[in-house]
Amino acid sequence: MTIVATPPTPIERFNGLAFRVLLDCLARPGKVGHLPPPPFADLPPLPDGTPPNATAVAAGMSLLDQTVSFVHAAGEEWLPVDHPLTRWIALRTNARPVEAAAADFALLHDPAGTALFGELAAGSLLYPERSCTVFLSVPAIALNGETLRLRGPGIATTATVGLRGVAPTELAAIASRPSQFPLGIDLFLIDQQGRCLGLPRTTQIEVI
Amino acid sequence: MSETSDQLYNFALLDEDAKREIRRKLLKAVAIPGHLVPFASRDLPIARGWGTGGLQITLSIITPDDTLKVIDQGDDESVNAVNLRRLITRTTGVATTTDTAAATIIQTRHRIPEEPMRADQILVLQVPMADPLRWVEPNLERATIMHSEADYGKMWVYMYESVVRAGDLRIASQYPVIVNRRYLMDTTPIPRWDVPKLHMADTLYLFGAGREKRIYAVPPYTVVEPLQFEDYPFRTEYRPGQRCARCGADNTFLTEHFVSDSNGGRWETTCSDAAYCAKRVAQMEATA
Amino acid sequence: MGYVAVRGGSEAVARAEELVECLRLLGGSTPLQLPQIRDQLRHAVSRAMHEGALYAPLLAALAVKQAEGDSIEAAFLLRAYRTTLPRVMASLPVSGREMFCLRRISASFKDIPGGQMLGPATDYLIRLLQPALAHEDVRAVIAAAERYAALVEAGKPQPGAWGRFPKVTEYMRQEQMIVDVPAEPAREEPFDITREPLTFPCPRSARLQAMAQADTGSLMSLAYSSTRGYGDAHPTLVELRYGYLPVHVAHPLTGEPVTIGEIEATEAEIASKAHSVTNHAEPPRFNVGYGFAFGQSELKVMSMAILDSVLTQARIGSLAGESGPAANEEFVLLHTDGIEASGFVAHYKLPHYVTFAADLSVLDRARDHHAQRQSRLGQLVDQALTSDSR
Ligand SMILES: [Zn+2]
Repeated sequence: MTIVATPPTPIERFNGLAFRVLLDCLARPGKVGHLPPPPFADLPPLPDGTPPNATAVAAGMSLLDQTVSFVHAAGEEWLPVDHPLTRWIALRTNARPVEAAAADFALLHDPAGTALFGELAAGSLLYPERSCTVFLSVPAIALNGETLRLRGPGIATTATVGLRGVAPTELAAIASRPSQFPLGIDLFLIDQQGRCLGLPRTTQIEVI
Repeated sequence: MSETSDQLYNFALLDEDAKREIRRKLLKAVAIPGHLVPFASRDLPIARGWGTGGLQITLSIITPDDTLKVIDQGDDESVNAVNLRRLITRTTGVATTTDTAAATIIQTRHRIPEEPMRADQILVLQVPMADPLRWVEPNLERATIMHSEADYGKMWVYMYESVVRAGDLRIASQYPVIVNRRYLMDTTPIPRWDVPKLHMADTLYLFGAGREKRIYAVPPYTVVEPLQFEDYPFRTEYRPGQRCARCGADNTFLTEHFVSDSNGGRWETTCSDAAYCAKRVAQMEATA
Repeated sequence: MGYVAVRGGSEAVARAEELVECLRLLGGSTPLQLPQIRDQLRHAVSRAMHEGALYAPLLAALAVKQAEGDSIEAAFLLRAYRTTLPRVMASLPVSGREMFCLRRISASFKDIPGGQMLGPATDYLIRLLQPALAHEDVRAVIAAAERYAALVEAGKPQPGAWGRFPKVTEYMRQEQMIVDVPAEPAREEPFDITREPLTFPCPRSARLQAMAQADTGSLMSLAYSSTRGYGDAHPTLVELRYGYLPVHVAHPLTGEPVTIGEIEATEAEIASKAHSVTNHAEPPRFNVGYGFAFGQSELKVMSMAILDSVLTQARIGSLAGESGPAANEEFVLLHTDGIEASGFVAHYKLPHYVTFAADLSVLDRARDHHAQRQSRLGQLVDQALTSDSR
């Protein structure tokens, strides 16, 4: 049979493979997925001079285009529209940088960003899907750790997951994130190694 | 077309923006099990009502490494399954299979395969009518409000009336279920036999309604309960003593076919999941 | 052999395609050339373009040829092609006032600024078949060219203004007879139903786009129903114009408007008798409905304009669905798309063995239930009779 299509470009290939990991992780909270290596490396640094987690940024960007909006934060501060990284993302995706309450996507470059959860849209009863999806960079997701205990759809009974380098207050913020089903925000935790953990609004989280 | 025809289309036909929209909506669908998520639903080279919703999902999730199975009425060789498989493979080059166990993505119309699906597989269902409230409230604006308030009283009345009139819950296929104890969901025209397979399953179920422009999902290990009454519990089509005329299975969904023979022909009841039936026949022949 | 026919599907599908191809040419007549279709089947091409939502006359001619004249199939072919094209940018808004008119008429006033111009129209034609058309040859082409030149010479107006006319609605707005253009929440671009899901209530731009690509016959039926009695539309045709409309875009670098071409289009504005009651502080005015389509498509744009006015009126009075099906926005927009409706109706040709088997099982149980009830009833009657006879 003749193939009538071009093979995917490196970015398209990343987007396609990354999506399957995101979908799998969101459908199976507690399962640690492995994102493919990001298709770029030239990201502008964060305000403190450190580079952002390129895999987390690339995973977030894989879902951005001209029809959606985003915010991003370093520490507990939203980064301004004219920050080089904001412009870098906007230029490559055509997504609109907006204020937190209106954002379809939020990239939180470190766990301190958990303090900003309350500012994000959780949807409405008529349109619970009009909520924010969050990509949160964390130092490390442990394969067999016991930091959080999870329960809910996608989990046969309970699941446990380990997080390193996340402060107790930040863990508490994750456990008590806005999630009043069907409203809520959906989280992806992504570490420096490209490991990924999905926490949809349906997951009940308990800090162990 | 010229020699350059292999440059004509995108990988998986849809442009990247269309895929991205569907991917975003799929994530919402998984996060809100059973909730109907609206999506733009692009025009496709196949007609509305012929699987455009399922097809758009498959084209948005498929990667070059996938192995695809497409079935219609449980059959890989049904003409529409052939047609959809042809479109997907011609625009992706992915490998195909008829073996449920070998597939990573299965796109289906009207059936869930008999062989239990695993956690590393995805079932994509083509959906004609997305909203189970359509029977009792055709107006979308009002039906959306009813879903938002979990106001399903009208549906229960409808079910009750069918019990009184017909002595049974009259809905044969696309049986309504409550997902995650919150949303009323249409199961697509799968027979009742397949409905229990949605409950606490290992696999992820994605539903696409192209003409109705809705996407929804049932994640694995999610509570899926058919609507039923204490004195009229949900029952599948199963009849004690039923048997497939070809493979002898006594626990599958059966359909009737006319089989021609030298005496003019006869009606035969066989598994609607043709690949499963063939696999069993092959196994029996191997051991015989 | 019914079972055999649906398996071996790959083979069957390929053969079906071949047969269609053969049947088109088997009669032995000369294959149609696309310019012939574009020029001589103008209305078929127009219809494929507006229902296919793609302005491309030669591609539409190809679609008409490939679909063997089936209007819905031709539109479907164009839509399926359009969906693969990138949406480069949105054009700048253009007013019908910029149209180079071949025809413009008004039914609301006898004399209008710029005058009525009948143009190419079949409205007053006596519908007699013309046997001469059956034997046309190249001489007819030459004769037509000569007649056309003479017609143009005789009808030449004063230099300067010809082809461009003020709009009748401009005058009516000045005189406060009709409502202002309804204000929509500010959007940078109009709603695009191919990019955003249509949810209800929807913006008027979504309504107009949906109707602009809807099936002509479906719009006509609904518009007719509302004027005939299942509704309260009382339309007056304020203006109908057909001609060439320039398309402008903003230059991507300078932002200056640039004309990139022109399209053949038809536009209608309808005044509806029902008064606008949006704002009690203002005096009542007529509502206006708007219709637009590619090519010369008068029935379509008038039907669309009637439905637009009916739907606007229904929303103002919160009467959606209460004054006939044509006043129900969901009903109108969700059932008039020819591609969606035809696809779904045709899908019943697909095998439904599984659902039918499930239906049969429910039927069996209903029969059992009926039989049980009958026999219980019989027992009761028997009992009653026996006790009577005691
Ligand atoms: Zn069998």
